[in-house]
Amino acid sequence: MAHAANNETFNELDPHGFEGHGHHASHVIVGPFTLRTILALLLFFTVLTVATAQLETAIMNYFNITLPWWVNVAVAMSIAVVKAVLVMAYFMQLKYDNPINTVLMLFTFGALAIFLFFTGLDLFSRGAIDPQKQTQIIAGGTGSGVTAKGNQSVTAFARERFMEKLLAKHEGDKVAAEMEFAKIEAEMTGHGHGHDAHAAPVISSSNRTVKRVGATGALLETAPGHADDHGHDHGTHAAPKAAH
Amino acid sequence: MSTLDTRDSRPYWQRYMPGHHWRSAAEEFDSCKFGFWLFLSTEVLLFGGIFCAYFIFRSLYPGAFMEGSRALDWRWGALNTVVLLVSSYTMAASIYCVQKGLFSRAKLNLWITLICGLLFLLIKFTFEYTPKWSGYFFVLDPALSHHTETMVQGKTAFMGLFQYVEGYGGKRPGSLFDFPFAKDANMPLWWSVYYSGTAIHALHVIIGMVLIARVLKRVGQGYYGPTHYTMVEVSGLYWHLVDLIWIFLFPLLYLIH
Repeated sequence: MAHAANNETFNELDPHGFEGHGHHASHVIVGPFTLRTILALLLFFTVLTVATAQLETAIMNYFNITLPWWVNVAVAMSIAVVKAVLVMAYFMQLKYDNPINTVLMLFTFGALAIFLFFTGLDLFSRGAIDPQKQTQIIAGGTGSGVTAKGNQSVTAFARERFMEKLLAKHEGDKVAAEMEFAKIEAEMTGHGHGHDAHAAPVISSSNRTVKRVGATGALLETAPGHADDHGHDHGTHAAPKAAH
Repeated sequence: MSTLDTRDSRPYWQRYMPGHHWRSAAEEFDSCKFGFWLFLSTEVLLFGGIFCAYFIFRSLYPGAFMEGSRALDWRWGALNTVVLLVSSYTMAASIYCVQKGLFSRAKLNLWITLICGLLFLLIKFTFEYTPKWSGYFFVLDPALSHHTETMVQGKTAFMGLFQYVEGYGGKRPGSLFDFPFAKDANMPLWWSVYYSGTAIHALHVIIGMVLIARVLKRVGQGYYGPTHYTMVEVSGLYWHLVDLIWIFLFPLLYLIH
């Protein structure tokens, strides 16, 4: 079973042909120039992705045009796919490899796409299905999950707990405590953490004030404490017909 | 050299012979690579599950995801992306060096890869996780200058290296959530998705670093060379996958609002 090249005689001291030169040097060596070019391209695309995200915010601020939410997503994901292809083809050397490896990866991504596709089908058809299932799904759950005291949401409870701490600090002076709360809140939320520092909080269209029906619609409302939900318009919701 | 001295004194990578069940060294190499690609496809599906969770919860709770992603600083994310891309390059370069027998340069490249991985973890834990979770900022953190009013003077940790800021921390997943200024009630869910995605990725960075450290040690011992570098190649594949996943995580978490 020797795999000698055509011009070699069978060597009984080396039946597997390990010592031959043509057998193990079949691997392509990807040179530093190619690698550096690919690195430069990858860095360029990173800059492009960040720039597009910043551009979207800038357009929103200066021209008052709100681009549809999927534009940024589509651009970012396409650039990510290009970067991924570059890494896989050149750094991981799929381009120079046995094609079976490429087929394997394509199949994996195809499996992932099927996974996401069917999940999406389910999610986005709930509006049509839920009205029939309303008696089986109780909006907000049965209450046996994790809720904070008084059945309020975790965020409302965190807010309340912080207020109590401030009240204790100001020895019961509600006005002073509320003033400090507002001051810290302004600092936490007003600066935008370094980016879009000058923008008023914009409700992006990703919030999609689409009329929601059925149990999922009610699930999408903020939990029983509406007070901590400022300025989000969820549109009309059909009152769930399930018993509360 | 006496006639009785029959020991083969060549370095290991030259003496290396694949097992007899292989037709050739090339077949062993290709099979090993194919097997590793099979494993990588399972890793892709693992992170695919996390991306699916992101997709589901983003669709159901867009307000929480919008608000949550604003709490992330894209500049740390971009820096981490650059760090990982450079480390991917040095990893590929080290494979080239081993293939050419340039061992000291290969080790240098592997060291740089390791240091980049460490830098990634450092940035993530010090500048991103710690302030969000606990409110303690590293004293050299540029973001600290935005919170001069809410800094609690004198409240420091870790020998004064970390400074406490009131009202910033508590951005934790699920029922651990304690941030007082959330506007959307589903914020804990955003933090769950964020921490699970990035922490499982960080775990893979650590695993990759362990692999690369072992390869580095063995390159120094003359284990790998131009005719035997399967392990170097395969560790490189793992590291590139880690980079690939971050390439997708970064825009989804940091850039899309």
